[in-house]
Formats: sequence, C-alpha cells, structure tokens
Amino acid sequence: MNTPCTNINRLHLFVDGELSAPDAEAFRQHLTRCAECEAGLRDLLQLELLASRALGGAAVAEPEPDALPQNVTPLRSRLKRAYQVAVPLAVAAGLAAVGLLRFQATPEIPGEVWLASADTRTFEARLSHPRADRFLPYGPMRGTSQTSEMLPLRPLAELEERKDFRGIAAAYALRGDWQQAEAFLGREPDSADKLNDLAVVALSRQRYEEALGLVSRALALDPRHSQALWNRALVLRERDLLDRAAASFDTVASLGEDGWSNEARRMAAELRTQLAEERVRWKRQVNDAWQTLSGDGAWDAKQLAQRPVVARAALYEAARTVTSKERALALLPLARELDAIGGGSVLQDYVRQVAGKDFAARSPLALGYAGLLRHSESKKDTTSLMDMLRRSGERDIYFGALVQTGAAVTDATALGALRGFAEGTPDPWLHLLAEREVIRRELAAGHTAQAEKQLMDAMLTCNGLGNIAPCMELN
Amino acid sequence: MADLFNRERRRFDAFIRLHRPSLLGLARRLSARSSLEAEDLVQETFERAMQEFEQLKGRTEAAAAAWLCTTMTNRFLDYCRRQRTESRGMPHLALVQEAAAQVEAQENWELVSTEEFQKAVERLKPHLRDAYRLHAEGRRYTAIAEHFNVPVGTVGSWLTLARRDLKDLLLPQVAVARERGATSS
Repeated sequence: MNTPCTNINRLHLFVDGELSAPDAEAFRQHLTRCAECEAGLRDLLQLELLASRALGGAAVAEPEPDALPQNVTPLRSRLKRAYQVAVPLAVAAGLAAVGLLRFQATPEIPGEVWLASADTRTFEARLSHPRADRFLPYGPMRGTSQTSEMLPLRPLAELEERKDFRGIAAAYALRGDWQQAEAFLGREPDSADKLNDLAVVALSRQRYEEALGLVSRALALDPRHSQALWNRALVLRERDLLDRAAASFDTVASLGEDGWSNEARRMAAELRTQLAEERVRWKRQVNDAWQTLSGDGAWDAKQLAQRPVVARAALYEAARTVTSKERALALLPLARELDAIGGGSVLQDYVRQVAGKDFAARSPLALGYAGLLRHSESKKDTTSLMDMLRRSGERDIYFGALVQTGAAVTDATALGALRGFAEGTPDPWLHLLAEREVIRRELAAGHTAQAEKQLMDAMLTCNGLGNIAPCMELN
Repeated sequence: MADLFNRERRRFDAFIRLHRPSLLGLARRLSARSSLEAEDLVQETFERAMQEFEQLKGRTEAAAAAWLCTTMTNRFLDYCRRQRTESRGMPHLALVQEAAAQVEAQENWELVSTEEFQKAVERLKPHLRDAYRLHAEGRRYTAIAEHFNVPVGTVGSWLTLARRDLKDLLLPQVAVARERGATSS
C-alpha cells in the first residue's frame, strides 16, 4: 500500500473497545470507506477469535459491564432481556427455537418466504403450495443467483411448528436450494401435492424419468392436479416429446386457472408450431436427399454423410424405391459411410440384400411406394397398394409404407407385420420406429401414462444411439 | 426422515454450543458503545450458518470458525454502512453484501488450529505474551497497565506488537501448508 491509512493504529483500540463513544462512532464510519482498515479488521478479528478459542473461553463470554452501551438507549431492551433468557433454550432446540426467540404470538407467515414481491418466476415448474404457485411470467435470466434472496428463518420455524413442510420446501426451492427442499418434502405425508413437488425437485436436477414417474403417480391420485399436469408437460418437453407435452398443456389450459390457463395454451401452441416446423424441415431434407440418391446426377457419399441422420432416412427410402440391381449397389458407398458412423454393417447388408432381389417382381411395388412418398400429403386411397405390399415378400417396402401411412395404429395385423419385420433386422432405428407405432396405438387406446413412459424410454434409447437416428420422429 | 432431521438439528446445536461463546465475546467488543446488540450480531451469524450448514458441517473446526468470523464481520460492516447512510437500523440479513476482500483473511486463518496458536503465543516475548494473555482473558487496557505498572499507551503498543508477531509466526506456516510463497504481509 502506497499511502498507509493514518487511522490504522486506531483499529486495535477499536476492536479492544478502548475508544470513546464518539471516536468509536467515527471509526465505524471510517471503516466503511477505508479498504485498508476493513482488511485489517477482518484479519484482526480472525486472530482474536482464534485467541478466544485457544486462550479465552469463559472470560470472553462474560459480558464486560462497561462494554455495554452507556450513552445509547438500546432499541429493543425489553425484547433483548427476554432474548437473553431464551438463548440456552434456543441452543437446545435448533430451528424451531430460532423462531421462538422473538415471536410469542402466532404470526401470519409473510409472503416474502415465497418471494411474494418477485415479478417473474425463476423456474418453469409449478409447486403445489398455493402461496408458491402464483402465476408470474417466467424469467429464466433472473434465476442465476441462487442465494440472492435470503431465507427469513423465523417464519420457516413457524411453518415447521405447523408441520407445513411443503411450505418450507417451497421456500427453499424458490431459492434454488433443492437439497433442502427435497429433505423437507421427505417429512411431508404422502399426497399428490408431495409427489408433484418431488417431481419438481427431480426436474430441476434433470432426472426426467424419475420426474415423470412422480407426476404420473400424482395424477393417478388426482387426475386434474394442475401442477402435476403442467410439470408433466415440462418433463415431456425436455425429452423432446413435444406432441405429448402440448397435450398435457392443453389439459392444464382446460382447467381455467388465472394466468396459468393462458400460459398453458400459449405453450401448447408454441410446441405444436415448433414440432410442425421441424417436421416440415425434416421431410423436405429427407425428400431432397432421397431425390438426389434416386436421380441420375452424381452425388458424393461423404458429403451426404455429413448430415448422417437425414442421409440415413433418405438411404432407406432410396433402397425401397430402386428398380434395378445396379441402382441398388450404387447406394453402397453411402451405406458404408453411414455404417462407419453408426457402427456395424447394418446398412450395407440391407443394400446388398435389396440388390439381390428379383426386380421384376419388386419394381412395381417400389414405384408404388415412391408414389406414396411423393404424394405423402395428399389423402389418396392407398388400400390397394398396401394390400399388394402385404401380400408380396417385399417386407421392407411394406414396413416403410406402414410407417408412412400410420396404418398400423388402427390395424393390429399390420402392426404385427411391422414389428415382425423390425425385430428381424439388426437395425436399432427400425426397432424404435416399430416401438413408436406400438405406442401410438396405446395412445389411441387411451393408455396415456404407460405410453408416455414408453416414449420416454424410446427417446432415451434413441439419444443413446448417437447421431444416427431422427429422434424427433418419435413424436 | 424425521430422524435425519433430528440428527441434523443436534449437530447444529452442538455447532452453536462450540462456537457461540467466542463469537459472542468478539461481538460484544465490536458492538461496544453502539446501538448494535452483540446477541443480534451472533444470532444473525448463526442463522446464516444454518443455511450453509450442509457445507459447514464437513469442515474443520478452525475453518468453520473462520467462516463464522467472516460472516459476522460482514454483518458488522453492513451495520456500519447502514449507520452511515441512515440514522436508524439494525443489521438485516437481506442487506449484507459479501465483500471480495474477505476471502484472503478467511483463507489464511482457517488453516490454523488452536494448538498451533497456543504454541505461537508461547514463542512471543515474555511481556508481550503475558499482556496478550491477560487481554485474551478479557482485561481492559487499564487493568493490564496496572499489572505491569506501565502507561496505558504502552499496553496498546504491546498488544499491537504481539498480534503482529503472532501473524508472522503463524501465517508463514499457512503459506507453507498451502505450498505457496509466503507473500502475506
């Protein structure tokens, strides 16, 4: 330090209580402006605390009569006396006693416990406690500093007395202290509310499968549990199951709660728009790549494989629609590139298998399927094509057509054929597609919870495949 | 689950019992001749500790004491700031701003055990050692001056010297323990 503070000598006198009242007051004011004295104070207090622990003990704990303010009237002298009496009790009784020190009557719990003056929500999930479930716009940027809002402990102690553990958990959760929130929820008796709040904890820790299990149990107890429906939507969205997420938000919207209802409607619409846009983009990309593979122009396998998910989907379509051995074999370089990414030789084997087919029989079906792809948006009657495919031995094309048309959702026999084909191949993506059709059938039958769990599992499996499968297609 | 909480509560009670006397002694000295009440200062420090107890309980006694000291100092400085800007006020949990400067002091001291401290006191010059011990027992400057038959001002400079020597004796050990260069003042 270039210019040592001239007041630094007074620091020791101040800490030792040897300054007169006006001098002590002046020094306290000085402290707030002098970094050197502040640092000195920190250091000196650490030393003195150590001295007290090592040498002092009883003498330090005993109040010096002249250390108490003499020319200042204590603000809360009566309270203070009661407080000093209460201290040993407080020491013995922990959290509850901290609250009892100064609260004799039963107080109204202040809203600040649940951040009543906040103007945004710091996380998206909904807690069950009514006072923590006010609708506010979601403001994620405000949620970065987890301990910025101090937790007022006395009302918490009061809540504990009332056994309102969900209220305490909510207070901790709102401040980002999920560990404490979870611990206090452990003391709450089982209920849909408790399960919902535990799901919020799981969600915050990105334990999505656990969270889905918890909200499902909450909804089994109370199918119209608004917070659980909301949180289920969030879990599904986090796993990219946008369609299911939107459906859950729809249900929240139908409950007609102030604020939440509109927000849920908006979220559902947003998710559907997002999903629709992604579908359009995906279809266009696959279609373009398929056209490239099916056309007469030259293409570069390495370049196409730079978008492996699109290229893989296009390769299936190309293999289903080729009409000659040569054109089938021409797909091999791309199959090789993609197998190098996905591992194994699944795609090369498939392409070779197709190349070995009798194209006199296969070609008409391949062309029919190509027509289906080109006109996928038009609602043309596909019955005769599907019938031909079903009876033919070209099971890979039949599989593609079933996935394309969604026919298996309403046709149990077709679903059996689809699964049979998928399970007969070593291709994990085809397994997932078959699984998706099975789940769609369950959804159509109203088995929502079971279906959503399976979708979550399928999505996890899909993500585990690495960058080879269009997981968004599971929607 | 309730057992877990009772265990935590007992742990926290023991934590308070261990640290409260020395913390309160320090708080009384800081709050002398002011409207600040030492018990408030200590109370609020422990309230803060309760929130951080998950981390604190796993640390050494010295580290926990250093943390409590920093926290209480913060609350005290906050009180001083408020006194300066307003004429009313007690320290309030929500207004505390953690200063960056606190880290160094705390880190230096949390590695020093009471045994090491006692040994360092033994190594002080006899008159500094005795004066420091009397002071640590809670004697005022005048009482210590009488004991040694020296002017009160001398007691002040002895204590200042004793503290400087204690730091010189203890902090290089800390620096070695940290495998860093001894750069602290």
